[in-house]
Amino acid sequence: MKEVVLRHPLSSRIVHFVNMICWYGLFLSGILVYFKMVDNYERAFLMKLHILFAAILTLVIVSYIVVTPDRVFLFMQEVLNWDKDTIAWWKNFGGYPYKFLGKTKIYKYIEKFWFAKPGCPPQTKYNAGQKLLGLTVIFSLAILGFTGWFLYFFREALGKNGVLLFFNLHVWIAIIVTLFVTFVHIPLVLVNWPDFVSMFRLGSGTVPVEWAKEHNPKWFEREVAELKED
Amino acid sequence: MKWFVEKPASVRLSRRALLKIFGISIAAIAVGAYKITDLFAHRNKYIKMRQKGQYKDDERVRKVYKLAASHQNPMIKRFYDEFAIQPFGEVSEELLHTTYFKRTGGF
Repeated sequence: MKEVVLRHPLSSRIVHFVNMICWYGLFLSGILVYFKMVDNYERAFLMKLHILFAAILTLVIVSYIVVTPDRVFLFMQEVLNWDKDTIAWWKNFGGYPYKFLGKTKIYKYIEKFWFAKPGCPPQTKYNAGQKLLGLTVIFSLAILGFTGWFLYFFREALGKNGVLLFFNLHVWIAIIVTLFVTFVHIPLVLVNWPDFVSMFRLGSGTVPVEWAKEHNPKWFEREVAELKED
Repeated sequence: MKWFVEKPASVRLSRRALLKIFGISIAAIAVGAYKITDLFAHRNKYIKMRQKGQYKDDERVRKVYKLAASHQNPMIKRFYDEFAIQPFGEVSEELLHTTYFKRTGGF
């Protein structure tokens, strides 16, 4: 009998999807404007688009907090819960360097280093790397939202130095976090295919139980219960 | 097929405690956001009034001298050519820029 566990409920998947679309929309429009890659008229249009994406993203995140506070609580509790196994994960990055390089010729040069050792300490719903990503996204969304809307509504009141500070924070946090998400989060989630499928498939956001037991044993043992059999 | 789901938040936290946490957080954020926006909206009022005055002056000068753009203003040109060197330079910043604070204390 096939056994599955619900990893990403519908509300979380909608927020993730909207966040993804709006984030890259905001990033592309922002980059084209900031580095002056287009004409003045197009820049004015792109800024309007930037504000539209920001308004949609803000609305969806606020709705998520108001409509499903229990999901927000569970997510915050999960990403803030750093136990000894979470810390131990960082000693060898959960065994990922070994998984990627273990069978290559490069491995014999790096096998004595701590980060290349095999094995992974048992993790909860998200592993230590995903927890760091979760915290990064939460804090960057808060800072980007605050600085962005402040620049939009109250730029006159900030003064020259305040505007420069808020503007630089807004631009460079967005660039650094987008690079991190694009070159670390996306490739790693593609490696963990069942997790990717559970987030983006049209059906339910489930993963196979064997996969959950292997990757997130603490979550499966402590926080998961049987719902039904059909 | 056998289905498993995450235990609900109520297993870890009672409904009352959850409402308390979110109620207090939302109240604190709402009051804080209201106070900050009120403060800045008030401050913005005077800055926008000054800006409006400057744009009005600029329009008046352009009408008198029949200029297409503000940077063609002969007074501004002379000011930068002979005195302040460049916009955002040290001299222009000291003479033209202002800070906003309560100036009515002595009255």
